[in-house]
Amino acid sequence: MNLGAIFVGLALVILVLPVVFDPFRRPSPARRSAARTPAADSHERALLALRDLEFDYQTDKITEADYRAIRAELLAQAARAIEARKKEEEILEEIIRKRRQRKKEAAICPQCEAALQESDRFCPSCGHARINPCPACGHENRTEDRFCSHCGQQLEQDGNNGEKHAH
Amino acid sequence: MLTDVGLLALVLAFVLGVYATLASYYGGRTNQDTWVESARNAAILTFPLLTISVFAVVYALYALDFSLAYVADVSSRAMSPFLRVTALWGGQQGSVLFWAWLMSGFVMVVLLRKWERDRELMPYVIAVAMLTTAFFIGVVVFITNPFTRMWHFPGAAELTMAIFQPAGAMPYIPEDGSGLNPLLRHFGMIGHPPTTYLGFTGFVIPYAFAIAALITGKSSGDEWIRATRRWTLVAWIFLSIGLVLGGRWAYDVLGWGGFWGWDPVENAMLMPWLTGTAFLHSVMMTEKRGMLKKWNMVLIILTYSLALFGTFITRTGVISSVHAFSKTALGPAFFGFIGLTFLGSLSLLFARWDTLKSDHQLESFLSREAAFLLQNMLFLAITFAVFWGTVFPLISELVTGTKITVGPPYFKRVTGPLFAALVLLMGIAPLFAWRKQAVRKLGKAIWVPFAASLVLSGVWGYAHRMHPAVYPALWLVTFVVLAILMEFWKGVRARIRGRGESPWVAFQKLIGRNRRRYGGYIIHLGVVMIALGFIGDAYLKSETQGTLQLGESLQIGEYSLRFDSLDYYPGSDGREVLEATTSLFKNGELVTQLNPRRDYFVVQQQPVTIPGVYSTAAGDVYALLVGWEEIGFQSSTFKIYINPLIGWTWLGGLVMILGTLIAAWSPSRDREGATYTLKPRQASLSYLAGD
Amino acid sequence: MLRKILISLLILMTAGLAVLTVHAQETNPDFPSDNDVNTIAKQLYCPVCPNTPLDVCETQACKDWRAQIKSQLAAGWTEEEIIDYFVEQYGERVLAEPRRSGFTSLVWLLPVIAALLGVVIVWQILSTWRTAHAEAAVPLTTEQQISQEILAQIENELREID
Repeated sequence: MNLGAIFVGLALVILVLPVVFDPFRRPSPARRSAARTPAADSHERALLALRDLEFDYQTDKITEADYRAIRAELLAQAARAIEARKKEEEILEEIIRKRRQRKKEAAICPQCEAALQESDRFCPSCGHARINPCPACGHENRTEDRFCSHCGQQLEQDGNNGEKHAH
Repeated sequence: MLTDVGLLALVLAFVLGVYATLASYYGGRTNQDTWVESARNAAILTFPLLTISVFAVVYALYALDFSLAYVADVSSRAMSPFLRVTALWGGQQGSVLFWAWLMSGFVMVVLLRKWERDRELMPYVIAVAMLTTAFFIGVVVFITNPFTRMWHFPGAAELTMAIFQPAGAMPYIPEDGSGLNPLLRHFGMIGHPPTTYLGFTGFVIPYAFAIAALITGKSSGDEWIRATRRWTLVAWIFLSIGLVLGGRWAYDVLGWGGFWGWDPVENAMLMPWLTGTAFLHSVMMTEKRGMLKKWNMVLIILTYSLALFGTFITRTGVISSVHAFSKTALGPAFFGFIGLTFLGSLSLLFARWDTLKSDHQLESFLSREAAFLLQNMLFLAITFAVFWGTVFPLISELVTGTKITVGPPYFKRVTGPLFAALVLLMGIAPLFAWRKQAVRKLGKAIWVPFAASLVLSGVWGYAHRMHPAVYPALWLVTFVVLAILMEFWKGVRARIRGRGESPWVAFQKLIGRNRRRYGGYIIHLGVVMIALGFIGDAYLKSETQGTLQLGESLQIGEYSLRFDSLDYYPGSDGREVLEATTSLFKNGELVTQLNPRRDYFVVQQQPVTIPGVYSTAAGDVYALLVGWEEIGFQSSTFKIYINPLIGWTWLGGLVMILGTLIAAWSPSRDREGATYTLKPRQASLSYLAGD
Repeated sequence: MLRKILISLLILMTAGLAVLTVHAQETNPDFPSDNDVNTIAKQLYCPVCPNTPLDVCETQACKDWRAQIKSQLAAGWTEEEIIDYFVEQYGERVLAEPRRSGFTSLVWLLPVIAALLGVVIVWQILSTWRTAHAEAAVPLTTEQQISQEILAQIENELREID
């Protein structure tokens, strides 16, 4: 194996390594989850079945009596699924609300240890001026920081709130 | 220089593959996104690295770098540059590398497209897919390395194969290579191996998602099916095209007048196609009715294992001789990996058995669900028959010590009736409604195509009245085609009546709004066309053989072939060509000139018989030069086949591609993934999962 | 009934044709022709090359075997005698179609058993599903019992996916 090839090989390694280890140097952006709940599956399935049933009826594959009976059943299934999804969403919103609440109260004044809210710029009990607080965990950062040194959350920069879209 | 870089890139790709497998599994287990993302980057980089490696091999083949054992084995000075490039998949080392490259390509595309979705499944998708990819790259690196060189020890009788120079050895560089196997020097070889390999490797995607769903325990949701639906279809159509092209190649090159010989290698390709087709249908039962969730898992595990088994058979030659198995480490390595994949996946499935709750309820035996189930059973029965016939010689040799042959008569007799039942089902099943089918309505729907098909096939059968046995087969085909066309017509009519659309608009919208259903029906039409080719082969084929003096004719049916001359000349790619000039007459009138040939490849000492073929819509006249008088070329022996309906097979392949395009096409990017997914209402519950 | 008559007619016709061809063979002056040889060679596999039927095999050995079949035919051997001779000489692997007796009968039996078993299993599964449906208490709902708001939503969604 000649020297040139070894150099090119080394160059490949040098090109590859930063890409592979890049995620450890900076936090990864939040990704969407595609997990679905049983209610969502049931909802979609009922709608598809209703559509197929309608089509089978129009193309004269199914008798009027069967059509009515199955349609009523599928409508009921869809209705049940919709109700269930609504409940799920309510629970979800409740959880998100609670989590926000918790987050807002999570920060503690470094000077007097009083509970702080996310939006507080000064500690209400001792008047400590907070510097670049993290919207997620309340940790105070240096003014030039772009990400929270405690939890990795992107920090607000000149009114540009990077995390507003999350929920 | 370039080959050295290719070797280094290959080793680096192997390291990255192993790293991606471990890192993604670790990241998934400990719920650390950074590890998963790092694994993802590594997995994506595997493809460009393997591309460098593949390019290095291709360049060595093209530039005739005979210092590489692989190049000396499959390339030669006499071969055209084009053939030298296709030699990449002409031998073992190159084709395993090619396979690994294609698979890493699939993995890369999935990781680029699906990364933002499926956060829970992704770590394990990467782990499973990269485990297989790393295994294949590992096989290339350690067992069949295309960068292996030949070395000569002073005084040694044999050459030593090694990648690096052993101490005291001299490099051995032959003047010329032995060149590609003559049978592979055909244009069908451009398309057949790559498409088949794309089909085989493509099934890794649904398999990886299925296993990921099992590992995370999220398998009761249909997410993995939704995510891989289109990938499965892509893998399936490539495998289908591979099968059709393989048939075309056999027809053009092997010189036995047929296109499907039930050879172990062909069977190895057919089996994953059969279970894959069953899988494509059974996932519809899950999506629409929430049924068969466990069964889907069984099918995809089976399909993927059979795809690996297919590679195993083609690359190790185990079936033709048990002894070929242990000649290299390749056989045991593959065998171990397939066993691990199959048993590991199954035990994982059984561990998660209870999470796969299906909603199994059915009103009637007469329903589309029942038809789907029967169809799945038939596919599995055919797969078993093919598998059993393929491995039986091996079993016989191991158990009784007698070598036996299981040839086409077995496969035709056993799978024929099952295939006929499947084709019939293809015509009847679309007439069934979901859940419940009134007998009265079914009778009404079946009556018209049934009566019309009796009449039409009667007329058609009259044209082949010399072969009365073909009549039921012709009826079956006619009936199924008419039943499918009726489905289109009924759908169009319903739209015209219900929405007042014009027929053309109704037709377009009918297909556009139900792409999978009508794309599927078009694929069915293609399958029927291919079945027609098999029917012609089974019932209507005729052949004759005779030795002719110059000017004499051989009669077959309404055709006769006159022997005009025989010429000898040296051809391209190092072959000696013996070419007969013959005139084909139909009912006494000259239709065309046919030039059946015998190419003799001097270096390989291998003859290749190339037919002269005259194709019409009704069938082919296929003439072979099978013998000749050495002195004076005054007489030659010809074999002529009449292959009716054979052209339908190739046409059917094209129709299948068209149907798949319709079924898989997504109209625009933002509706990617489904034609009917509902808009998510506000936030979805899934934020609970990992936050 | 009509079908039965048709089928028996078909069988009669095929049988008649078969008799005709046999007859033609015996009176043919060129007997044995290449076609007669190929009819037998088709049922045999090349004893040396992997997976190649004898009638299309290109090797010199196979040409000699075909010539041998020809001389055996000329000497008045029957088809069975020739095939038996080849099996005796080169083993059972020359048979394209495995024998239906002894160990090799398994190759024929198992797929048939598997297919029959498959039908039984499918029938069983369908029965279970049907029972599950009969037992599941289907709440008697009519469209009136579903709230107008939800019904409207379903209608809306249906229109969206269509």
